[in-house]
Amino acid sequence: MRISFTLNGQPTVTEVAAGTTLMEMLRGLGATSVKDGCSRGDCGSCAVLLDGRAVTACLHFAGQVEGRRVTTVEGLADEDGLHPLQQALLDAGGVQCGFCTPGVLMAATDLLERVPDPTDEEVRVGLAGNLCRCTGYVKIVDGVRDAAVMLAGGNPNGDGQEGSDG
Amino acid sequence: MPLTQIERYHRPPDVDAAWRLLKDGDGAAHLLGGGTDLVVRCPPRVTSLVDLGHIGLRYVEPTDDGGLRLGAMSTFTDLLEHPAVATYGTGVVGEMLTQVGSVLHRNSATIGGHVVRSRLSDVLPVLLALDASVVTYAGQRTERTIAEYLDADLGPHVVVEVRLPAPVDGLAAAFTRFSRTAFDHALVNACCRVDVDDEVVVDARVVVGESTAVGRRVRAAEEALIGATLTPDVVAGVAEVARGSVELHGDWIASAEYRHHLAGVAVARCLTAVIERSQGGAA
Repeated sequence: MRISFTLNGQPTVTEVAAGTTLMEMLRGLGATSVKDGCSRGDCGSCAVLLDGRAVTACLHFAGQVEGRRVTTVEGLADEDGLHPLQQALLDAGGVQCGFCTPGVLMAATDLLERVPDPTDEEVRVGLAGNLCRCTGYVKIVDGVRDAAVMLAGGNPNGDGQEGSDG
Repeated sequence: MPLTQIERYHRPPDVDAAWRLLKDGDGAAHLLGGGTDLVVRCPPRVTSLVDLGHIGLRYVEPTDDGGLRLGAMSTFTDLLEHPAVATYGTGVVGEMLTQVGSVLHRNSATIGGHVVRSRLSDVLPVLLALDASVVTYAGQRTERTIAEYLDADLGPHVVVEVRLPAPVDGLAAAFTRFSRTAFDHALVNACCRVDVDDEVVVDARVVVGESTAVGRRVRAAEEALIGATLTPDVVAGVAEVARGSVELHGDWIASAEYRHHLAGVAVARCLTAVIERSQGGAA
């Protein structure tokens, strides 16, 4: 079957078998940031943005994205460098083996679009569908909150702010 | 792995076309809503999918009498982000929706999908307690109460929308659930709703569900509430009635005895929350 959709801002047309999942189609198109962790919607490693909202690509059929916008991590960074979420997660030590990281980034992108200045609890709720077996989550939460500061134009390390010794 | 059993994928332009594809499929066609259940639990005889994503069933609209129409393809996130839905019934709809899966799940799962699946759902007890109705299409549109819908043997049909009636004055409701993990299916869930007039309960719904069955009203507990004033003693008594009269089953996850205990606790917690919300005056 033929599917036309927008992948990371690019109009895309592809042919897949009728029972193909969104995860399989995206990986076949080269978006290998979409990880196959469980294939049943439990781990969140395959999370992508569908029309701006984070969903598990393994639980969607490819046909469901006809005419819609899909964003993967490949569409997050631009020519100027990493997206603030990616940089903040690196800086905070929120990346270890990295397998869950693409899904975490997608869920966090959805969260920060809706809640620009989230509390720890709001970050934990927003990322509750993303399992990480390395970090213990604390540094991921720190990274997402740092990214919120960066996206608001601030410096998460407090440099230049009153009371900071740099 | 792709579902190799799927040979055809249909995108009908309207509800009638979707229903005809389903009916003519004679069991080999399956409706596709959010998809959260179908990829992992696709019945073996299904060879074609009928995608409902292109027929305009994703909406929330008020009705003339103050109720709400929820399009069947509305996701849980759509509903949570709609103030009138999230706050309906002193917030019981939003309270329930935030306890269903993760954000990733709620961004995909649809209200229509949960109604069709019925079992393994936290949605059904709340819809039963709120006297919701379901509009189906099978050649023509038909509205039934959610209880009638669950008991009916309808044959091939499309769930078009869920309707919440206009909230009555004095309505207060609460939902709670128990599960092994946050995202697991509920061992027991419960929704209690009371309509209070001058501090006296004039109508009540006590609905208890479990992981293997659709929620059911506990009539004995409802009768114990009607005419009473909600006090801690009344709550304890009604919870005991519910624990003793609700029909629950045991399995490898939890015994029937344990589920009965949980049912009593769940009803007590819901009614305690109802007291607070009732005193808050919201409806």
